[in-house]
Amino acid sequence: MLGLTERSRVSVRRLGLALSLVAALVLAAAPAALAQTPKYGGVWYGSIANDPPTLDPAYAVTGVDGSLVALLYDGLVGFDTEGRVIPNLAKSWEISEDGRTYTFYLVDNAYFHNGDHFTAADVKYSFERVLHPATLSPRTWVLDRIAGAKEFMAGEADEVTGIRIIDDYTIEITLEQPFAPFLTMLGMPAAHIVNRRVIESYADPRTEYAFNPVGTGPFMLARYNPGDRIIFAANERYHQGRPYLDGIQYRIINDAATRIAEFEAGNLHATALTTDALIRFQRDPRYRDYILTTNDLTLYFIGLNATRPPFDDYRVRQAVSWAVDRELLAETVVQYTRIPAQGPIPPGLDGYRPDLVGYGYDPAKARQLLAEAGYPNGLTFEVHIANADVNVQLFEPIQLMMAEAGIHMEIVLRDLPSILQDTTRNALDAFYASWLADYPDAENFLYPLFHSDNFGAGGNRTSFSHPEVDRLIELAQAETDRDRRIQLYHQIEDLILEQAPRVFLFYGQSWVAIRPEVRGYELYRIFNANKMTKVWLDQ
Amino acid sequence: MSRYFLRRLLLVIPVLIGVSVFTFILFYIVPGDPVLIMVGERASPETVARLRAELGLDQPLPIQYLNWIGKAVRGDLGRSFITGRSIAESIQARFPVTVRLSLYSMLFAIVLGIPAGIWAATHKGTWIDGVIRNVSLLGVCTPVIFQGLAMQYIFGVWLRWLPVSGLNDGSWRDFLMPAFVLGTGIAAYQARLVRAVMLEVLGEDFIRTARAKGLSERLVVYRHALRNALIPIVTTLGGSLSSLLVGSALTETIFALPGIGSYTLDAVFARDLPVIMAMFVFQAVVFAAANLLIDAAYALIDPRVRYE
Amino acid sequence: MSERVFAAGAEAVAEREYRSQSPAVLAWKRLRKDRVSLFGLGLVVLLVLVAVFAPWIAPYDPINDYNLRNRLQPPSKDHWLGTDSSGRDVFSRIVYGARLSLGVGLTSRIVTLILGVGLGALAGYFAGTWIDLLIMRLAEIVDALPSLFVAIGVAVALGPGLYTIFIALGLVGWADMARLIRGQVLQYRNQEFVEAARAMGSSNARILFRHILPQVTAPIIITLTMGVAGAIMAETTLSFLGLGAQPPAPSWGSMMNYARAHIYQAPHLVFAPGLAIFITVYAFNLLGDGLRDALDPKAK
Repeated sequence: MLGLTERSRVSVRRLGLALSLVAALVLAAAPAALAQTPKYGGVWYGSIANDPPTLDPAYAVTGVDGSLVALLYDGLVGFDTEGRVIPNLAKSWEISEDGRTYTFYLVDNAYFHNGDHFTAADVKYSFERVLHPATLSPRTWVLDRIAGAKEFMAGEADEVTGIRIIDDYTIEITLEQPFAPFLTMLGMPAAHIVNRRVIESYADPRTEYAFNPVGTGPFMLARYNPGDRIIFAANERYHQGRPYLDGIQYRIINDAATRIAEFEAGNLHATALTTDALIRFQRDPRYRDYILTTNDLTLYFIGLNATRPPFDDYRVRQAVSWAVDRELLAETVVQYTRIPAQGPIPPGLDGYRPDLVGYGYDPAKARQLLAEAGYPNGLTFEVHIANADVNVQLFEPIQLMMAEAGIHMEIVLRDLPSILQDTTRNALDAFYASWLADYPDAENFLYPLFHSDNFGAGGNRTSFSHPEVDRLIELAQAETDRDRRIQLYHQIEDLILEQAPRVFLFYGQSWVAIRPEVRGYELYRIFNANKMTKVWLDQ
Repeated sequence: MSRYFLRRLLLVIPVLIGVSVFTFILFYIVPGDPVLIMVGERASPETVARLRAELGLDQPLPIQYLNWIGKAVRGDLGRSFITGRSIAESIQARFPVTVRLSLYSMLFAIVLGIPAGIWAATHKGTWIDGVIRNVSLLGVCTPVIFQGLAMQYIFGVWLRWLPVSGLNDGSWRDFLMPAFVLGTGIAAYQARLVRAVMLEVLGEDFIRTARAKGLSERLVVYRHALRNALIPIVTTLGGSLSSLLVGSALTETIFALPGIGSYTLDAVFARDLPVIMAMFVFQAVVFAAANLLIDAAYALIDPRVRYE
Repeated sequence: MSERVFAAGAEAVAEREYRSQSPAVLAWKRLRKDRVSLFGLGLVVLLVLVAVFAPWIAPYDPINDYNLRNRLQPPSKDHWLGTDSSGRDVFSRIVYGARLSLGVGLTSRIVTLILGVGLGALAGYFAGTWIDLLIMRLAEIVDALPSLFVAIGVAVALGPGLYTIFIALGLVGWADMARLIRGQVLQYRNQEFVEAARAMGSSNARILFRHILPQVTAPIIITLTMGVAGAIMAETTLSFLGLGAQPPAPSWGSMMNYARAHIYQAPHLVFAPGLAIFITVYAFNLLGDGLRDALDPKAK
């Protein structure tokens, strides 16, 4: 609309013309604007790479399970595209001064798929179920900081005293000690809410309930054909409003090339893109305007075994860190899909510093460090990597880059289970892996990976141990002031860079192509944040 | 004759036991703990220990094996470690897909391979023979992954005649491309074999006699020669069918077909031990059954064959 | 009349000549006349030479000469078959790949032969005893196991690498060979010349090697040549699963496999090793066919 901020002696006729021009423009633009009103209807066709091992939040540990749990269930909170916490079953909350007590005010219009009304009792039941020793949930760590949790888990108490039901729509959770990331952790699959009546109707819920989910989420499970596809139907009574889609169908397609072919054939509404496909799509006028991207909170690294030579000496670890040209690799082999990493905290999280300078490519420095550490004639070690095209094509040049620094790195292809087990026993010199954020807090990249409490399957697979790092991490976990916490994160990151327990290679950048009729589809940084409620199809 | 088959059936049992022992040992000494995979990161050691106990993995190996055998002979193939689903149910759902794929592939193999082989033999030394020999070599050499990808793009993406992958409406359309890919590989091999066998038979004395008697060439080739060539041909066809039935894991993966091949492959990579055990033994059973069928087919084809 | 006698005489001479020559010489004579098979033999020899003299033929180092800024280039003057994902010369990698692929093909067949001939001969010689039974049951068990999964199992158990491949691929097919050898041994061991040899004091082993085994050279040679093709193809499948030659070794199978990711940007990366594999399989098949024809006692 015209803004008439100045007093102007415009003739009435001119004003009339102007007004009709404006009216004409508005009318011309109207259809376009109308087209942006979301339409209800349609089924979304997507794909997942494997069968989900389970659809039960208490046992969901993989990326696939987590993203499906997000459709079927809700947590107290959710995440937006950036990874910030947003309300879900909790419409608002208060945190006490000392940071220990969280009071959640719950929505009163949420219903489970079987019609049961959601109340605070469901929250208490769901959390206690995860912590209960008989459940054998591997995700107790999400909730075990709640006061009384440890006793409950040990079987010494028959409830978790830190979870207090105030009334049907108010629940109070008290932690043993202040723990800053707690709120973000409540968005994890393990903290999603389940229905007591349904679960207790099974004799062995772990096996029987696994694929018979009943949650409050925007979608319900319609059908599951293992190895083939999984089909969801919209939850008409979803408390945030019925999703625009009538349903979702995920085909199970293991092979990336097949998945991209399906997208090109018009059978999928969206597909993740490999580097090769991305380059091809960017040049193709049919697809190039429909490509989305986001950093995906993934850290790619080489883990160096700190329990034995040669990597028990931090100078050797530093040397190896200087022996990879991350910039060159990111420009060539993994163009677009990876960004050179400076430190362990990826972009998109509080604590990430864009101007942080980590290790670059300096073979001379590497040689010097090796000589100082007692390896004047160079170093030999094996790196175990999981079999994938990308990994091999990354490590062949890395091997040659290392050779310039006098480092002889041998590549051994393994499969993931073998690598996992071997790192638990500290049996490998070095391995290549990635760490994906469980929840959007930098603490998730520091505590599990570098704290000495978490050796082996805890996340610290290099068995790195440094008392000052431990201390700073614990301080940060308890620090409720955001700015001070970020400062602590920076301190920890600096110290870790100096100690170089891992060679930080890249951060991940996801690329997804969507079909032209897709609207409202956004990429979320956190793997289980997308509830598909904003997506609609313009057809 | 039926006593022979009964004996064959009984002899299968020690083989099955051998297969199960071998598989058990192989996958237990192999690194890769299924429990660690199931629980992901940061699970407490107590949970891991208890889960291991619940799955029976803390028992000594011979006990674990005996437990498995005890249940297996009663038909209880157990449940997947990872999903908890009944393995017998999964086989019931997935085996038919593999069977259909195998049968369609055999159809391609027979329709393409056998006539080609006969042709090559009867036109030995001519350009037809040359073309068939060379094209069949090409069929042997092209890896499934590329043949599959090429066909998916040509027929699935560009021409849109066939689905790119997956079990969609369950019709023959879903199987056409994967069956073609598998079938041509077998056809190539069959063509060369049929050619070799036919040549051998055509050189026999009785063929010369038949020709001398004035019988038409067609009769000579198709009635007399082919009949005698059938036994080795049926043997290799049977062998191909057996290996198809155990599931072409790679083809099923590329074409996203939920058969037992991809089921087994996924289980191997996830160290899903009950599934691995069940599938290897199941495949041995299928293999033995296929062999028995072939032997029965011999008896039908060649009345001279007698089993004691 | 004299002509007929002459002809008959000549035939008799030829007949005697024929009988007096060893199977090997006869085979070679027949082979020499078959042009197509000679072509195959020539190709195989050429491939072996390429493999042996790779360092002299390849213009670049297949592993160390890399240039990330020059990756995925199409064929050019500098790089006859273009460059791969790390900027290495594809032609050089193909040439060195001959060593790997031929090596895998031949070595795995030799493993099969050793297992097959060794165990088969043992079983045949001690037919009816527990040795025979054990070996035959073992053969059935290995047969019944799906070969792909056995290979995976062996590779996962022994750790990936070339030696593992040799063993894993070698385990495929030894059962057939063993059965064949066993059959041959059974057939011949009661023949007169064996008894005569034994009467003269030859030991069992000597009898095995000198008298029986020469009869079975034909199937052995066939297995060697025809099986090479299968072994090379199997290596491609194993590479897909990460169980083939370990990086950065340039085996044709793994080259083809990793080329898949770049099939649009650089299709030559697929065709180059594909062509190499095809030529090798072709050569060995021609040779195998020819050898089979040549060694067949019924052929004229």
